[in-house]
Amino acid sequence: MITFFRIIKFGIQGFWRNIVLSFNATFIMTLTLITLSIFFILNIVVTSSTGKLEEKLDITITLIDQATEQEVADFIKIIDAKPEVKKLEYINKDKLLKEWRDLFTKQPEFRDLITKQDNPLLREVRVWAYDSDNLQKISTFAEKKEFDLIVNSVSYRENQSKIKEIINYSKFLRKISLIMSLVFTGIALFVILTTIRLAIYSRREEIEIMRFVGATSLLIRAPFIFEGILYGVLATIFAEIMAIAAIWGIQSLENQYLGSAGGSIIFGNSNDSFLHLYQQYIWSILLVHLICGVLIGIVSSYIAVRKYLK
Amino acid sequence: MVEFTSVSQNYSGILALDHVSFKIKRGEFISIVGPSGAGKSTIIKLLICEESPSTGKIIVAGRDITDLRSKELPFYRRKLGVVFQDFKLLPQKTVYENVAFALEVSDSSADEIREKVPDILENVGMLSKRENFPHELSGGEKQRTAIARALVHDPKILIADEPTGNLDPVNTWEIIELLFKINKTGTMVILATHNKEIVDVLKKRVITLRAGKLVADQAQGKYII
Repeated sequence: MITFFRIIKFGIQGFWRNIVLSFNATFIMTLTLITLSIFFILNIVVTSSTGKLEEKLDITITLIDQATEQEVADFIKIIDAKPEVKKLEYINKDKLLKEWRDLFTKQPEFRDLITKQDNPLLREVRVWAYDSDNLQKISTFAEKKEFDLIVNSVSYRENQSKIKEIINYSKFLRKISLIMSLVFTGIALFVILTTIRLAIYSRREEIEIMRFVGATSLLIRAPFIFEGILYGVLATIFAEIMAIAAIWGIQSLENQYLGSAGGSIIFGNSNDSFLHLYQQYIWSILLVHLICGVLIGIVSSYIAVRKYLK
Repeated sequence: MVEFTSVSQNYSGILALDHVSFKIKRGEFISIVGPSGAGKSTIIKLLICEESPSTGKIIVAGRDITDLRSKELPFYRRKLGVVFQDFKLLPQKTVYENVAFALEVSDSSADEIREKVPDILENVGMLSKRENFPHELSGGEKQRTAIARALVHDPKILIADEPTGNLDPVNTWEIIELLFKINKTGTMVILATHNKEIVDVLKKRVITLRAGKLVADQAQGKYII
């Protein structure tokens, strides 16, 4: 217990009495955490917005008028049983008519072209997949010969190139954001590791003296590791303060330039916003910052001191 | 208590020590002298286990220290007091903290530290500077602090490697008197120096080295090179 308290005391003393080095290391650690957060948030935004975009992708299967309601129900059952299908919606003639009328509310010349008695619109089954990549698979299945007497057409063929374009674009965005995150995380980790190594390098004589007076490796290493933990904790606090300030800034810019449409444009959902997203994830971000900061501090200090204990 | 048996130290073909053998008894004051490169510092490095000899045995208090495991090293070093030419004080600790550190690493209680540290600082004349940092001290004060740190845990052996090398004549004699006083309490003092004046005045045992070889071992010797 005495040793534990002495480690804490030496750690705090070391941090405070080498305040310039400690400040530099904490500052770089703060930048590291902010870099990690930026790419963490970028990943969330990109995944969320591309996910929402892909969620909107569906295929529409139009049904032949001659197909009976029983045949249609059986067909829907078969499609719904496919593991790739997330949900489907059957639009009967009444719903189609309503949609038509809603579409042309202010253009009666079009609105009245279709009536309940004379409704040429074909019934539809709209299908959403768990993974938009599987839309083609569902489409191909629905186009099978056995459904020739039920299925009129499948919209996937018509929009195939557009759908693929959207899917590829969202995949591209996700991959780019992941690669950038990994690259910048690597750079940030390298910079903080080097900073802590330099801080400890400048105190290598101190380590040598500790060894000469009979300090064990634990008693030499542990205060440096504790200092590393302090860098992490303080950097978490600073990073959090800076993140809150940045989010407020971005949010006011979003409000100024995009107004209420901001959520839909950026996140694909009108209820989402940077502030809302941050509030939603604040504890996760804080925890991730703290774990990353403390872990980086511990590992960097451990590696840096190890060299001088050999 | 300390016994070197045919100890050699080879640095990539350069023989720093060549089959050196000698014994030092409990409570002795011994000066190891010789010109630069004679092997004085090598003997000190071997004694504090900073290096292992290429060949030979070094027995300290009945234990061959050449086969100490790295985990045993701190515990061995706590039994020694070591004073260096460049003082080796912890720059970010005060005089009091530097001395207390030697006790803190050996798990001494806070009460023991509070009792012993002021006493030893009083003995070396540094109590009034207890709150000063090393950069605020003169060379002599730094060395007295280093001696206090070396002695605070009551070692049986005090090793001093050129302790007066960076000091003016007045401080030099103050430090030598201090070492002399320490020896009178029964602590073995091993002093490595090339200061002829000191060795001649001490009239204590002198081991003379030249080019890594032990060339003289006189009971009440003088600096003969």
